[in-house]
Amino acid sequence: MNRDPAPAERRGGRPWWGIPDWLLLGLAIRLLLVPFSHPWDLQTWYNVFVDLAHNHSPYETMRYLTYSTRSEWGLLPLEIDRLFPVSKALYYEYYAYPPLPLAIYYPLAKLYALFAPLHYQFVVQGALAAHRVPLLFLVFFKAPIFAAGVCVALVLRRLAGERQARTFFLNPLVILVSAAWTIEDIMTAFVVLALFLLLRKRDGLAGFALALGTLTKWWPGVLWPAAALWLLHQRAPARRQAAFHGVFLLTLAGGIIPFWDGIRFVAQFQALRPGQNLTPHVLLYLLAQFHHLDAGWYDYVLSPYVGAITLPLVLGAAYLVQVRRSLPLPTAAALTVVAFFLGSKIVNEQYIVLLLPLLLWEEAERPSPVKTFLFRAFYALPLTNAMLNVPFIAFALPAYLQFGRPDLSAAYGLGRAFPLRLHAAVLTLLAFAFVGLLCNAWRVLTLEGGDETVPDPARRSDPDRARLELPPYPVG
Amino acid sequence: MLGLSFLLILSARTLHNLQDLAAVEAPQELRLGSGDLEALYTLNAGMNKPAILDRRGDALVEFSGWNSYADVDGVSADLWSHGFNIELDRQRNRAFLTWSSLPLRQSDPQERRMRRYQLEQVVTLEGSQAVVEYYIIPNEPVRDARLTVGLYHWYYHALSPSKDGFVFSVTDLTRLEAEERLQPRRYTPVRVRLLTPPEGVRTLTNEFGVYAIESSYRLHAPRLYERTLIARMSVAASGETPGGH
Repeated sequence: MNRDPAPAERRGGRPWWGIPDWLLLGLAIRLLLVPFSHPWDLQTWYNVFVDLAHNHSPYETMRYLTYSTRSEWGLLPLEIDRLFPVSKALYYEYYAYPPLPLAIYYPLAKLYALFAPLHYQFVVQGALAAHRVPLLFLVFFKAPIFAAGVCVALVLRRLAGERQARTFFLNPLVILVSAAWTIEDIMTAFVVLALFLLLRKRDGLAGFALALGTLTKWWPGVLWPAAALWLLHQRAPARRQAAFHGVFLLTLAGGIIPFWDGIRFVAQFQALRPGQNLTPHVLLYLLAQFHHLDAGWYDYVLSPYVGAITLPLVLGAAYLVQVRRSLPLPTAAALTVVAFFLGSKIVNEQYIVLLLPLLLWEEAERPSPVKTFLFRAFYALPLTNAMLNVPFIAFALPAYLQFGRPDLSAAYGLGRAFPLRLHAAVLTLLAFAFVGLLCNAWRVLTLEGGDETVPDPARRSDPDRARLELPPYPVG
Repeated sequence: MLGLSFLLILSARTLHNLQDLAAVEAPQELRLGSGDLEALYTLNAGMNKPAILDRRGDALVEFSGWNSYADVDGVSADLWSHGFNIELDRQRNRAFLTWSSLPLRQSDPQERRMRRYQLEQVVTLEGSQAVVEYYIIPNEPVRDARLTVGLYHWYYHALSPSKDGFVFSVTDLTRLEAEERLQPRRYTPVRVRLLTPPEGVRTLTNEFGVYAIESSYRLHAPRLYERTLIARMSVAASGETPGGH
């Protein structure tokens, strides 16, 4: 343990081929967590592999399962002459992302299919997705995510210094999402790369990277106006602005048009999706306590309606601030992302991963205790929510199913799914080991780095950062 | 401004989509398809689940609700006794009909009134062929499930077995006209393929001929909460030939 990061780095920071020890530690923890997964998301990605290996569109599979779900859940009260077709708003929660992850995983699915058979495994909407999925599949699925996480850390090191990169890569929320959840790291890598390229005045490439981020998950698209406003404030030449916007729009169009039919379908799903998770929007559901209306009315009518108003309103306010004031790039990006979180009807825990490198970058540029507190709050809240809401024991289920299959009883939740105490005890042990691994990374970080609220003076003279402190675009 | 405009358009579209949630009239029948084949669902009776019609409206075969049975762990009921719901995917010419072992639920399955199982029928119209699949979804452990599908037609003309099913001719006669032994104006050859090997097939006959073919399928311990295929068949019509008067 050494509280001076520079000597520690000299003595043992790059023990193996010059790779930082924190990068190796983060990768090691991720590899140990490979068997752990969010059960429903694991079902999605496993079946995406099945689709891709058989040259079938996951959008078509989602469409098929959606109509199937509506027929299973729908109400048809023949005894009265009118009905309220809430079922029309029901969708099977499957692959509702943009098409880029399909391109990334297509060769991997084909390669995997050479080694192991792939068969669809779907449970009905809302049931416990307790599938036994081969460990090899998990390695294939998570490898690009781990690579993207490394990419984020390396770009962040160039932008904000080694300490911030390490703080990101060993953050327990980032590890949770990267190692045991979904593809957020891939999206984050493209977005952070886009911002980095903007700073380097590689506008066309920046537009390309931001479009790839938007084609990985839809919502990084909210950063497009923020980047545009930043370029305007920097007085970037029209040619460079055109390059950024032109490449962004063309790439986006090139990714969307071939999948237009499927994308229309998932866009409807996103539009009608009830609000949920870490958003002030969920306060709406408190209203349900004072009314006798069917909960479906709040879920499928009020919630999307309010969400359609709050998102443009809050994002519009954030853009307005950026119109009036010239903000530094990390500040503008972080402000836009926070505005999205405040206005969006859905803010899942994993979305926060994109905000963390932006906050770390901002904190490195303009350190303050408030920003440190915000960073901690922004990862602690979703981490706690995920542990309690998913809950954490569910992440251990796929790992447990590697070794045995419990006798699942008739239940939609985990609570009644384990009638045998032995199963429950083993699963609980695995779950605590999972949480322990997550927290271990953070503990190591705390021991090595000391109190991360103390700004690192060495970082300020980092030659990488010095190179990035570029002059603004020339006027005219 | 462009981004804001895009968001406003997105919001307007969301509001537009909400119109789909307005209360609507419950129909008495549903029709799917407009090409070579059409599936007709009668909602207030146990017949036509669905009836497959050709382009002239002649019924090729009728999947019966009254005379199709589910036998799950020894408890038997005809499909018309089940609660049901239909969803049509008109863009893909697909229909999804689900029967539930409990009558209609009013809320989500986390409530205490659990449907023990559901049976789902998926009809896909592809040109002059209809593919009909049956799935079972157990919501509780099920040891043994048997499904008997009743295929009705008043009456099967020139019925003969084929390699994986049977062939027959459809006429333009109604049941009463057929029982009066009137001469049909046209014949349409139809082939039914039982793509899942049935456990048994039997024909039902009266003095006028064969009017139903029942095929039975059996499944052991289907996986909980998953859709497991129990039966798959296809109905295909070829070109009609004129009949004599």
